[in-house]
Amino acid sequence: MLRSALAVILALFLAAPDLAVHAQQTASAPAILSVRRHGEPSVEFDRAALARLPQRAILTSTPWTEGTISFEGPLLRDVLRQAGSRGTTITAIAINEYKVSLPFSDAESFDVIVALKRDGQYMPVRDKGPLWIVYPLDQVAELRTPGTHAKMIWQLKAMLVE
Amino acid sequence: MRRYLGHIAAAVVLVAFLAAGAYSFVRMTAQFGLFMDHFRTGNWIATQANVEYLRLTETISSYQADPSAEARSDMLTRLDLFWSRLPLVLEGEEGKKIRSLPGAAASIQAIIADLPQLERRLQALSGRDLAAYRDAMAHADSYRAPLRDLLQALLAHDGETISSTAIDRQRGELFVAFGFVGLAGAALFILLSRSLRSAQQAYDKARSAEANALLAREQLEDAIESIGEGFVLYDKDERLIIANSPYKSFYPTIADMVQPGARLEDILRTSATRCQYQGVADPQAWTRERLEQHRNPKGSLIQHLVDGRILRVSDRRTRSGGIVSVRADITDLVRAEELLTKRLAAIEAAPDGIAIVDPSGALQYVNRSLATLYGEKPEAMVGRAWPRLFALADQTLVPRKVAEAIAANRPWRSGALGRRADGTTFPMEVGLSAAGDGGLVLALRNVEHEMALKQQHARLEHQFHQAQKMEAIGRLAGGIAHDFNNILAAICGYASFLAEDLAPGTPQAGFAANISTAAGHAKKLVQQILAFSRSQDIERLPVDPKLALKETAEILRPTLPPTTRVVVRDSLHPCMVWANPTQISQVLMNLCVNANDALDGRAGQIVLALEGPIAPPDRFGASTRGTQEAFTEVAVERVGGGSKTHATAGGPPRHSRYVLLTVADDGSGMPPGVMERMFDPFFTTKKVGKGTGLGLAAVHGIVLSHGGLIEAESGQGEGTTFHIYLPVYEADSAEAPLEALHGQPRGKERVLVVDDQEMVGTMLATNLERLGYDVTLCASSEDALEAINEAPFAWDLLLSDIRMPGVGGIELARSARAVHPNMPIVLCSGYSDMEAESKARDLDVTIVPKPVDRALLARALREALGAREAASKAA
Repeated sequence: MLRSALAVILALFLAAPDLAVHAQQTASAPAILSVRRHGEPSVEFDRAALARLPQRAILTSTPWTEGTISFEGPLLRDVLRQAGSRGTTITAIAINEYKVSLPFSDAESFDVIVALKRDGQYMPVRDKGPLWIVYPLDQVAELRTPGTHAKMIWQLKAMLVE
Repeated sequence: MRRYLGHIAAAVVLVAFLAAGAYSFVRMTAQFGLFMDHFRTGNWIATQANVEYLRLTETISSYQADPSAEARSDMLTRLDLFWSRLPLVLEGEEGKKIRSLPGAAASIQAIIADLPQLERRLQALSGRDLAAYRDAMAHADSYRAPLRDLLQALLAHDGETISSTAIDRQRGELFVAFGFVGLAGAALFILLSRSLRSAQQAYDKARSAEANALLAREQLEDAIESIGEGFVLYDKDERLIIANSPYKSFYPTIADMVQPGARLEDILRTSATRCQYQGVADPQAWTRERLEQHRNPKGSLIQHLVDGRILRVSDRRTRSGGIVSVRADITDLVRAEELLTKRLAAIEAAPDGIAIVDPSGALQYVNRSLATLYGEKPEAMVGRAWPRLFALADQTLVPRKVAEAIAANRPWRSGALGRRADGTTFPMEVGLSAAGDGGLVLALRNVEHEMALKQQHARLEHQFHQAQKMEAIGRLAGGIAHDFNNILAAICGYASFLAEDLAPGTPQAGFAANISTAAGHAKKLVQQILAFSRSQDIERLPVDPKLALKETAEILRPTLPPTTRVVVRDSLHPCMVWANPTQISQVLMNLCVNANDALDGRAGQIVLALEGPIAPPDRFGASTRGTQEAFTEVAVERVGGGSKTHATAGGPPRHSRYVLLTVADDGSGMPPGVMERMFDPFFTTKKVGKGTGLGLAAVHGIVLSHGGLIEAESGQGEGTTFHIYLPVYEADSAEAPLEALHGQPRGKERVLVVDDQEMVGTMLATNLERLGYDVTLCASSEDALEAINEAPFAWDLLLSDIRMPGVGGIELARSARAVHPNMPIVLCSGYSDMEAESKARDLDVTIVPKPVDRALLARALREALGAREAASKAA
């Protein structure tokens, strides 16, 4: 609290609002995603860090929802790049420890996003949030398979790259 | 039919097998699809909900056991996770099946509606309140039964739809059936194929051998039939086995006999008697001979058929002792060869050089004329690169032009310079055209002789025209000049009287002086005319050119502007020229005036140089001593590749040593067109009133009449140089009459001299008198004829000029002969009287050229008189 107050004061005095906001967020917000390359320390992302990455929206339907939904969030490949992780397989882990494997190439081949928002709203855990890996199902016909459905993990909390 | 039994059985088994396989595959796929469909999309959601529910209850228990913040957070997360699983039943494709179960959606909706209450209870939990835990657990427990029921309902539903046991049973049945059918089929197939294979193989072998033999024979017959050559085969007993249709068509007279089995001898005899061949006198003998050839084949022989065709007959013995005979129609080939031979002979005999060049550019064939032209043997030239036939300069140029022409699909023709192996060159006309094979055909002709003839012809023609022109102008100008001189003499004379009588200083005295001056100018002009027309009455004497040059330079200097520098160079070894000093001065003056005019007021110099004695330059032609008339032609040629033009007049030289007099200026120079005409009388480039066009004409006339040569070199803007070659006066030459007089043949005969020009007549008479002759002089032909008619034998010889007014010399000679047939006659001829000369020769008179050379005259007189004496003695 003291640190954030100091930061606000510092920001006012230095007239560097961007830096101040960033500092405030990094200081208080909890990490919601941890990306780790096997054998290396993990890179933590809070919501703001993910929101700072270029945002992409996917308009698609899913087998678990009604109608077309607008998902919004950074591209999976941007997240991985930001984390400096490269490999062949991504093991995505949900809050309930559910695990699924994604080929690393999916992130390059398709505009897969790590959705932060559903129809413009951040997703709470009870609505499959805070993060949901979304494939552009309605845009790419070849993705409309049970295999892809299985990879669209929600309540994502961590990714292990191998 | 039996053969195919095995195949049919095998086919039946295979079809049954495939049908069974297909059936079971379809069945399995259908079952699996059904199973997957239902299992995948429903049960998972229900299971997930159950699992998350159980985890939630576990975390509640954990929190109760250890009421830490972490456990609390874990519990609440679990609530969220459980919560998140429930809406899946109510929306989306995957929850569809659950929703279809009666009451399922309602029970889930009830749980969702209740969840906020549970959430409040859980949030309210704290470390010590056990009752609250119990209540919360009881609350959570209220969801257990609906969730379990839902899962059970789903599983029961699946059981109705699919029975995995049934699937397994069907699969087992299918495998048994496959195994049975497969085994039976395989066994049947093996049995049948084994029993049939051996029989089939034997049968196929026999069939195949038979078919192959038949095919081979058919192919052979086809082949024999389809060849263009006549083919016939006899067995070892000389009976015909096979003959193809070309063979039959070659021998139409025996077509009926050419059948398998026919005897060779019969065929031969019949063909001979039926006149199948040319030149068969004795059919029996021919048959025997041909039979012998046939039996002992020795390569091939040529047959001439009566229809004109020519066959090449090749007989060969076969391994089985028979004879195979092939006939090829070579009529066209022979005709073509004959034609080719003739053409080759024609090419060989052609006067032009002909060569064939192969595609690589080497000479492939060279005819005799070409080889002769190059002074080599044809075989020595074969293989040489064709451009080497040309002079070095053309060796790269010509191939390029030829390539261009051939690329444009036309032959190349041109004049070129040929080059022999020894380096000599000759002009030629060449034609090159493409040969079909990428090579060339080359034809060439030496035009050296033709060109020489053409040049000579042009030169003679030019000379003739020049002579004609000079004769006409000379006659006109000379005639006028004489009379004009007399008139001028009168004008000068009377003008001098006036000048004497009139008081000096009066205007009239001035007028008289002007008349004298003008007349003086006129006199000079007349002198020029007389000079170029080469009048005969010019006296000559030995002149020292050094002195003449010095005097002229002295006279000249004051008349020239101060900007003009006169340079005199004298390197002449002391000698004399036989000349008229006034005329030499006139030559120098005229050249200097022209040189000064060429400077055109600019500063410059005139060089007067004297060198020698030197031999005449080669460019004047071969030196010939004799009476030949000097060339009056002006030869103009460009010097080297430069801008200067070179002209010569006179020649060929008749003397061995010349004095070279040079007048050079650095003035404006002359273009080639002007140089060609510079010696023409009245041709001038100067302004009207400034030049008469007689200056160089006079120089030309004077120099040439002195036996001299003129050379000029000029280029526009590069000045002009005149070289005057005057023959050196040799003391012992025929041109020294005074000293040599004693050596001349003398005589005492009576000579009648006729000349309309008093001075010339007197000069001739004096000459003859000095030689001892008794001379009578007549001033006209009429007078002379009268004298001859009066006393025909009073004169031993008639000496007359050819050109005279009224009755000319020729006419006079003819008339004299009429009176006195044996009278010796000597006629004097000017250079332009060629026509008169030819007439005179017909009259058998002696011709002496003008100007009359005294020694020559003396000899001519003696010869004429001697001939007369010889003639009279003979008579």
